[in-house]
Amino acid sequence: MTLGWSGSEGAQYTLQTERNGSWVSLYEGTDTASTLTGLSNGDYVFRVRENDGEWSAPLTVTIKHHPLVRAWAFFISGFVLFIILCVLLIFRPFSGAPDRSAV
Amino acid sequence: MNESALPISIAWTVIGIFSVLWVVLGWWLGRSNKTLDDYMLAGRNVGLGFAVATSMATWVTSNTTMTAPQLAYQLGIWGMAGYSLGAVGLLLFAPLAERIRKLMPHGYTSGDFIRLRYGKLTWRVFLIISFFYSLGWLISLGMAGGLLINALSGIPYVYGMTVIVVICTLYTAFGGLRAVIGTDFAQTLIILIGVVLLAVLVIQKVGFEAIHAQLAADRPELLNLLLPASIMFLFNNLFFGVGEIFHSNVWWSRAFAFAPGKGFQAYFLAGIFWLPIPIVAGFIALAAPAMGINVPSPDMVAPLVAGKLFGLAGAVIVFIVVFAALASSLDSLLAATSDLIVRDIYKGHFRPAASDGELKKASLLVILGLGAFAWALSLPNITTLGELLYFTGAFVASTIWPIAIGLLYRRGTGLSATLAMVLGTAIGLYSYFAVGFYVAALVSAGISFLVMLPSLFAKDHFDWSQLDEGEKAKDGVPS
Repeated sequence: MTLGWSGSEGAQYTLQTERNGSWVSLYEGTDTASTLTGLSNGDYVFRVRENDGEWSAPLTVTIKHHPLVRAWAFFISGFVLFIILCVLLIFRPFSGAPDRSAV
Repeated sequence: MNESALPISIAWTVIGIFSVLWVVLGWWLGRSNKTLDDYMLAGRNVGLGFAVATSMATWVTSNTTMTAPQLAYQLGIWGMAGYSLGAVGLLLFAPLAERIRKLMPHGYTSGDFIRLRYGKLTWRVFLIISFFYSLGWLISLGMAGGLLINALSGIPYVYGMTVIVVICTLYTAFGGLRAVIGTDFAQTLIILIGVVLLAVLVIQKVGFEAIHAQLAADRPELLNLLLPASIMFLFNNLFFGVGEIFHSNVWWSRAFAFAPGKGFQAYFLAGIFWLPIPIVAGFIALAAPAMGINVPSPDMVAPLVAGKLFGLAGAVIVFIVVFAALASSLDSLLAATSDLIVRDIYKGHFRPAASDGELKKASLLVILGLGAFAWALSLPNITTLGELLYFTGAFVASTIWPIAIGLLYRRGTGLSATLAMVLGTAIGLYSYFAVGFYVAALVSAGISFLVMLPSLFAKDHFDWSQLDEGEKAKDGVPS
């Protein structure tokens, strides 16, 4: 997910997240966005401020990954399709009568 | 990026040196072009060394240097490994390339094959898919050029994008495919040496343990081999890569251009050499959390890390590698798309009696026009590179089965191939929006397979000799 914010040009921003009841800084600098990946399922709370100003209202983001069953269904479908493609390309099981190309 | 790793003056010097090098090399290689075959297909006699180099370099693109790290950053270990499955496309195309050369010794484009094998309706559907893909790839390359040059050096996006598009257009227009393949050879050497150097630098400066510890603490899902999105992505990326290579004229034009008997070895070796490159590029992105680097946009993670990690010398290496990777793909795409426009649109639809001389002149003008078109579309810098790239996955994956079955079997009709492409694309696009970008190509390939499946059990009906237009022309049938 990408968190974005806006403010005065060139301002210093601080992005924090709440961990175990206390705020931890994730970023300090002039960027106006931050992409966070690899988070587990759950609720995450963030806040940001410009220079030494007021903190924004806390933002709660819920991370919910796809169910594993759905993921495995796609994975197995892909695997089966891949094997079929390899077999068709390598062994050519439906070649039928010899063709004139002799390839 | 707030502080560029490379001073602008050095960046412009590097751009200047390599721009002159590529343009002069392109012009020099193109001097001996006399016929249309020379210009479009490098005389149909490319040797193994050049064949391997051009296949590999073309497949190392902005997608490899930008999107592989982006996917590693978003999808973790499987994102990185999954991207390397793009090599499967090259490996599976190896036997097809050999067969294409034998079945169509006088062929020019992938469009020629679809038209002769399946008829005009399928041909037109295929051309729409192919042009949409080429357009997406052209824009992503132009945008990647601008973004990377900006991130590494601070040169404004528009200037960087303009330089890369103009230089590639010029030397491709001067020298045709011969120039593309010749410059690809030099660019392959640069990419290979550069990537090896970068891998050594990352391991020396950050180390596996620090990267792993930081990921385990802050980004645990990136190390999770059961991350659902990553599991879904794995075969999606494989089929996307296979679809890109099976349908695109970039790869078909090379199959026609390689000397007889070289296609299989060239594509197979290129696949093997390409395989580790996304893993190395992706690994760089995983170092970002350990280094405390903020990533405003995931498609910028690679240049951000490289810039902070490697200092001036490393930044110069990254810059040169990226410039080579972008050029090696953009030139190939310009040449191959121009062939498709000239052969399948200009000659195929409007000027069937056009002479080779007229087509050669048209090719040059089309390459220049395409360059201008790519520049204009890249100018607004509209979406993230990954999204743009994966949007085309639904389109290209729908062509896999019509092409594979059409090339290997005398079964399969134009109607089934058309339906496979249309339904595969439509449902693939639906899944793109309903589930995510990481399933679109897989769904498209699956639907396309189901539509083509009954063809495998039908009677043989196609006569392979219909694919050789040169033979038909000899027999008095106009090509």
